[in-house]
Amino acid sequence: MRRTPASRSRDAVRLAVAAEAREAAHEVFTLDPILGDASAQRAADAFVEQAAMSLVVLATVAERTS
Amino acid sequence: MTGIPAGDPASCSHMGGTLRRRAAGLAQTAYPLPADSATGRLAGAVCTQVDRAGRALQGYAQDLAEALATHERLAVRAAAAGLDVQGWRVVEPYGIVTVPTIQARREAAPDLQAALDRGNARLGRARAAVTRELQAAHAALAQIATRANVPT
Repeated sequence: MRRTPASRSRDAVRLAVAAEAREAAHEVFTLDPILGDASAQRAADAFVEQAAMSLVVLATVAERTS
Repeated sequence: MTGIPAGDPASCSHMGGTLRRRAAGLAQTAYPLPADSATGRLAGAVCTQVDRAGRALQGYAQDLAEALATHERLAVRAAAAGLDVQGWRVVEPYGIVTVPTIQARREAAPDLQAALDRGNARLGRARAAVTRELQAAHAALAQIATRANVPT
């Protein structure tokens, strides 16, 4: 099937999203906040891990659908 | 003064700012995609939660900075009254003192302790709020990732 200019343009956007999501995942993973409370710290650490993973998932979906 | 409340507002603010900047950047990059496409939908959902956590952390950074400043100000007031502050408690330092000093300390201590209690309670509420928001954003992201069904 021939690809239209519009679909090529959407592919380029999806690849840009994938690249940015991977870069964001890497940066988020390096974050190390000090909240000063054990419970809040655990929540922050768990969030960092989940956010990085979710960004990788977004990158993977963007790459697969392009 | 001993036992300054733990926590680093700058690191919390940095994380909050980074999350919000990344969420805004990704949302902008994904904007041309149809909202009902797989990537468009996923990008919107992830950015919303990342921004939510970033906003909560920025708010907490401000509350924490205010709590630390309040603590420091009260510790200075306590020292002027011949008292010490340990954590969020006013204590009388050891040593031999005169009767007027004892009286001055006993007059100043209740007000200082009440102010420290208020500061501690405010910080406790801020910590509970940021914990709730981070846990909620975490749970939402976990659900989003599960629905996307992508092995990582």
